[in-house]
Amino acid sequence: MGRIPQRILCLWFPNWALQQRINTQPELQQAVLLLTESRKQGDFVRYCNRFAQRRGVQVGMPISEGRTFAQPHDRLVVEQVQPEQAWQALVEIALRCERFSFRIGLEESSDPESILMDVTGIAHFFSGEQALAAELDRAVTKRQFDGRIAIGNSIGAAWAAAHYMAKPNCPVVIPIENIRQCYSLPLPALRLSEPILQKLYRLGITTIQQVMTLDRRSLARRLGNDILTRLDQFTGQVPEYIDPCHPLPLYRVKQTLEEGISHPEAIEHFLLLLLRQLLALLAPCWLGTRHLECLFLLEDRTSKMLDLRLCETTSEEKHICELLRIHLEKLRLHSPVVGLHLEAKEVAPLGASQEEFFEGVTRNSSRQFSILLNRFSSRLGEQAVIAPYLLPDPIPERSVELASVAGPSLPSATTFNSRYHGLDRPTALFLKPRPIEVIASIPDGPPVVLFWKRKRIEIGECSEPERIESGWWQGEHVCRDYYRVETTSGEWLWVFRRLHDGRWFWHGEWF
Amino acid sequence: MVYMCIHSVRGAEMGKLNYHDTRKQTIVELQNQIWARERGVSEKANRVYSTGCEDLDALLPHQGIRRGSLVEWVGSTSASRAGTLSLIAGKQICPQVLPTVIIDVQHELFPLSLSLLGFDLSRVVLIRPNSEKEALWACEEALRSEAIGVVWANIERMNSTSFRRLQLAVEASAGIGFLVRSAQALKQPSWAEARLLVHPLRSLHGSPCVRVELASSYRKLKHSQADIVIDSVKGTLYGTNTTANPLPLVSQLGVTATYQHSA
Repeated sequence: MGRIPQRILCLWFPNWALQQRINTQPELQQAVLLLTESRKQGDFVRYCNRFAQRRGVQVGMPISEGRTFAQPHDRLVVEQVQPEQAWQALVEIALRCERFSFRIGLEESSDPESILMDVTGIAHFFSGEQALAAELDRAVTKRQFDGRIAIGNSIGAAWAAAHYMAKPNCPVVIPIENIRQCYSLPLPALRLSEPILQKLYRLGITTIQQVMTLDRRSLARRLGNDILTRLDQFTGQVPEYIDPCHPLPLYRVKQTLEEGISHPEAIEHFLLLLLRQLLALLAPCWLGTRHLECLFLLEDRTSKMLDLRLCETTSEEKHICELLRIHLEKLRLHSPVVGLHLEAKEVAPLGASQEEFFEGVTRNSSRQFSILLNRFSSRLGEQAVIAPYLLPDPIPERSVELASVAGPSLPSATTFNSRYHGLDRPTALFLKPRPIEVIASIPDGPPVVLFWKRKRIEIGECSEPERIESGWWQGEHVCRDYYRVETTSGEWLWVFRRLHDGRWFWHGEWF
Repeated sequence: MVYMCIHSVRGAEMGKLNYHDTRKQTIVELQNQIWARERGVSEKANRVYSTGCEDLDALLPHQGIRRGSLVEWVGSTSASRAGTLSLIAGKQICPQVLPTVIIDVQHELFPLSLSLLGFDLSRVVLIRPNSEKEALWACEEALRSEAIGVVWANIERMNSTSFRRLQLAVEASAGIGFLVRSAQALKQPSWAEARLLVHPLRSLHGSPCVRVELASSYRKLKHSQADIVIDSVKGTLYGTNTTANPLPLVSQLGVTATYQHSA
């Protein structure tokens, strides 16, 4: 069930607005060309051509100062940057590149300068990725543009390599499974915001490699989740999609009724009728959906949303009907239905499943299991059907994250620090630590007797304390001494003493 | 009838018998096959998996966990280790390619401990229903699926009808179901192939011990109880009389390190 690894090509045009302007009027190369932007303080130079730079103009200087560098016989051209024009020109370039990829879009930015292409499974048409990149480079050069090209496993990696590794007429191809060669790149290669970059610089962190070695939890707490998202996008662990220049077709059906319907069977029949129409749109292209949005328009001018998420791309009417019925049973409509909008989201070729559970399993088994998970999620709720994964946090209640199996993508499995062994952690961890009273043989020593809800628990044996402490920057500071105690009847309990106030809690047991 | 079965089985299995190194194993296998033919159980449901501990296997009707069966683990106290024992046995018998479904009604099962016991968390689906009714529904659905290795559930209240439904579901799919329950369950009827009562015992060299007692089974067995040690380092099981699994040196010395963790 192996999938072809994703390959993304990034084509970056440094100072695109300037390049595009000169490309439309090549004689501007011999003029002092200043493209300006307006700020609160006035107009400033945003871009300037090489000729202007030779005269002494610098990006960021006030326009009045920039003008003074032009000599009397120079042609001086001062214009406002036209972002819409630049954007439109970049889209045109992207559309011209369609022979290199089936899916082409621009980078997500207010002033995009890069074109992104999904070149997965396309390289062999050009005798390899290097040849593909070289041919694209020739096409770009022929049109008098300065472009930098890189191919990588993710949008993040390709973007980083194009901006910080590729040189003019020298494309970079990062081999599959060799993203490590990008780790030495500077921090801006992660596409981080300026405030985050400044904070990291203050900490003395300048490369991706250094960020990789830091504790993720701490990073998130100090700098927000954006940095983790960017890191995961860079390594390809979090999917990032190319928003195509040619908008994707919408798979949506809608119908309004002259009279409202309130009978459950009638509503179900109406929904299934539209579902059949929607699936008929998907069928000719062998497409399925992993997310259905049903918007019920009610007579009182309000609306109710029914969200159906699936573990596997499907277009099987019978299966979707069954799940919709389960959802409909739980949907409370306080007014008759007068219309319905049904949209298939996350549309993909049939057979695209979440393969985390199914590696090495027959297709039939994986399908059976997907159907079962869909039924569980529909009946019990998405939050009740979960995939646990570990986090490198010593605080027990923070060491596990639970992700819904019907979510957009499951987190990758983590390997946990091997300092823990078989029974180092209890099999049951209480949702909230239970406050207990303790009698200890010596002050601040291990417990001898526990009291919980008037119940006396005699302790026979007690382990050495295990100190578990959170970092000072992680918000609420946690510092506890954990003991594994054995009662006189042989039960194992996990208790801790909170160091800042000396209170005792019972946190779990080997049930 | 039985003699004919033995004869036909011996004829069919003659090639297999050469591979068995003990006479006892052969007899047990033949007994299982006769039993399966008498009850009309499918070939798939006739497969028996070892829990990885001979003493525990000896308490089970087929000298192990048979596919298509439910096993009930009853804890004499809240921290009797019946759950821990069942999880270790479940991990041992679950085929590697199939997922494990864990139905946790109490919402207290600690996934980190699952990982430490050797579960591959990428193949574990945790279901945390809001009620026992939902848990029963999920358990029955999961047991009915052939795509699941082991279904583990800690459902406390179950009437005879619900229990029977679970048993029929597991028989239909030839799956394996483990039910972990408290001592209250002993008053209720059981449709499980074996009901094991687990009592905690004092530790042995830093590893916890349990006494497993066969509370009920459809078949009379020679052994009705066994003392089992859970290796606290490896998370494996062995009988107190077994010498094949010596305790880890660290446990023998009774050394427990004090960890200093800081994020």
